[in-house]
Amino acid sequence: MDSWGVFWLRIALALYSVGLWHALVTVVQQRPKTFLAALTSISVGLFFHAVSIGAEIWQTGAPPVGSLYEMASLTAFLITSVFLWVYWRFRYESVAVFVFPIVFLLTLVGSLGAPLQPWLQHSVGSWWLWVHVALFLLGFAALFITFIAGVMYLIQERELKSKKPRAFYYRLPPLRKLDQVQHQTLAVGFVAVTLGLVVASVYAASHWGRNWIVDPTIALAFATWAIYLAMMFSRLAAGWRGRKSAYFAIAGFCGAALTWIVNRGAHGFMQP
Amino acid sequence: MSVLILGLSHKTAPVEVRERFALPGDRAEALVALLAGRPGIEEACILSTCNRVEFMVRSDDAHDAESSLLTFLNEDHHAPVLEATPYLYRYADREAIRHIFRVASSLDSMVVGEPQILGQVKDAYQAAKQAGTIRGPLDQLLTAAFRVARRVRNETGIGQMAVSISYVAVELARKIFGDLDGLQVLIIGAGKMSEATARHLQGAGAERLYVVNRTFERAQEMATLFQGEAVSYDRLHELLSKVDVVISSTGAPGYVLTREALAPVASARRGRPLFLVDIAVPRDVDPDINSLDEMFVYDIDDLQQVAEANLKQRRKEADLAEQIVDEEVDKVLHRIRGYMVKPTIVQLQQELDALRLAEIERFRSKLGALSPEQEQAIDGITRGLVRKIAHTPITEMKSMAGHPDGDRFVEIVKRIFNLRPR
Repeated sequence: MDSWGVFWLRIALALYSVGLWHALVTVVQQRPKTFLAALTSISVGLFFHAVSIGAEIWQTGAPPVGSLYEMASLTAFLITSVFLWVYWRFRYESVAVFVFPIVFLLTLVGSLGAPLQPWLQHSVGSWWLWVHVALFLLGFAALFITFIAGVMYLIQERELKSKKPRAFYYRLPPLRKLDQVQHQTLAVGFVAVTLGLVVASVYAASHWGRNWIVDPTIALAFATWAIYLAMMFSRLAAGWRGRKSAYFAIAGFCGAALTWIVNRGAHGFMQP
Repeated sequence: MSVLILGLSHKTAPVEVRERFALPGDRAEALVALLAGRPGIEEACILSTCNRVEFMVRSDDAHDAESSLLTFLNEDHHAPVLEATPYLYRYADREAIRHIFRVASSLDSMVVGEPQILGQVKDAYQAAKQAGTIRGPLDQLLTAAFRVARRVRNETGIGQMAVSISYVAVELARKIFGDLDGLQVLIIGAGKMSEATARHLQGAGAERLYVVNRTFERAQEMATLFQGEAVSYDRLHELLSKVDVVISSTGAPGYVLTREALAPVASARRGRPLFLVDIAVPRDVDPDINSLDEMFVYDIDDLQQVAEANLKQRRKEADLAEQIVDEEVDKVLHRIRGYMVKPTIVQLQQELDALRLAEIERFRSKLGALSPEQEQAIDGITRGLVRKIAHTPITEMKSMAGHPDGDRFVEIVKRIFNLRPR
């Protein structure tokens, strides 16, 4: 066994796939009772996922964001946590069907990796950086759910406009509820990302002066943040809801996903 | 034991035949008592609704019961049995139980999944209970039917999708808004249809009702009915940007709400959905409004279309419900037959034990004085022998319990062991 972290992660992965299967049965066959099984395996999976991340930290003595695999695993962990929170608040099973394929994939990626050489040198791997990455990933997880709810909103809106109830009409949550899911996850995501940006900016400013601002990956991160800022404003200040807001959620998440991909490791300016 | 059902329903008989079989409400108990009093009939229950009339009886002899039932229909109920023969259906035993379960679960209803039928079956059960005509297996059967109906309702979506137009409007409102608590509803044109829809919406939690009508008095009348507010026509547009649901049913020849008028409303609402239900013919709401953001226009045909799609969904769910029914029929048959063979089993055991004791007594004088150990040994040997002899007939009776030939087998066992009715 190469690592206990990976071992527990594989158990979590197995449980997530059981959960995904039951969620699919629940939603496709419309058997609400099956969801209890899905929820149980997902929750137990999340527990082992936490154990896995704990083991990883204990083994490497560094934050679990040192490689692509660890990042994928932590992202999946946070998405599952946010999903459970949203489920607890809204009770819509169909969200799981959209969320869990991605969680499954990220966990799968995470479980492939034996610890490789870490991206971050220990000297750079300060706990401040860990906080910054963790906040970003939490924001990313919450905004992922915002994005999913946005997509579901657009699908359900089309179903209702078409006036011909088809499969989705019967299975997706009501429009206003999807709007509320977007609203609440956006709030959490936006706060986390903003705090992450603040922590990162302060830390970078104190270590690398001002050069980092022109780094394209950083610019992308700020651009994404600007999209979400606009979305927050249109929602909170102007009170915009509905389709436009859903498009914002999708655009913002595209930016966020891109940022996640280009910022997997240490930023370019951090090389000594 | 056998269960027999004679009945007619919307599927087999037109209303002019059904109505002549229906029970007059005030004589329901008297009639079921008369039925149960007919020879060969042990228990009886009569279900009578506007869509069906079912006569259920339990007897110990199937043929006898059927002729008794027919005599009852002729002589007590004065129903035209002979003319109605082509419309009558007849179910016995397993099929009868299945029929009761399907009826109670609303699988045989005109609108599959409608909930009233279960209440009607319960009423029939209560009436028969009052009249003292159910007390044994038929009681078990009907209580089982209630349980099956509950299971079907809980485990399938058979009753979930709305199939009547005014309920479809409520269901659509749920699909748009989630819960309807605190929803504001505007009624344009105070007709009968809009009244029904408004009533459903209010029942589902809608809070505030505004009524706009050409004659203000009628608006006020309806507003008092719903504890709403009558509003004059010139405030219509102000209300449109405020409310969540609009129900329109005026007699106006043209559109009351046009796309031009609603476009500014759409942007003023900032993406808050507006659900417009147009139940007027000719239509009140320009269907083009549906293309505006977050505006959903449903006219009477659209609602009908949703109702039909829902009915199709219900039929899909009905397949699953049929499986549940079949499963439960097996269970209840097994239980009832088990219940029916139990007296025979007990009697068999008692007879054999009596035989055993009698034989021991008969030979006691020849055996002389016995030590307690010997006494015990004889007791053990004879007990074991009796148990072994009884073993096969008992297990066979139990396992044949669900089988159509179960009754005959019990008769054979009774004959072999000479078990007389006590």
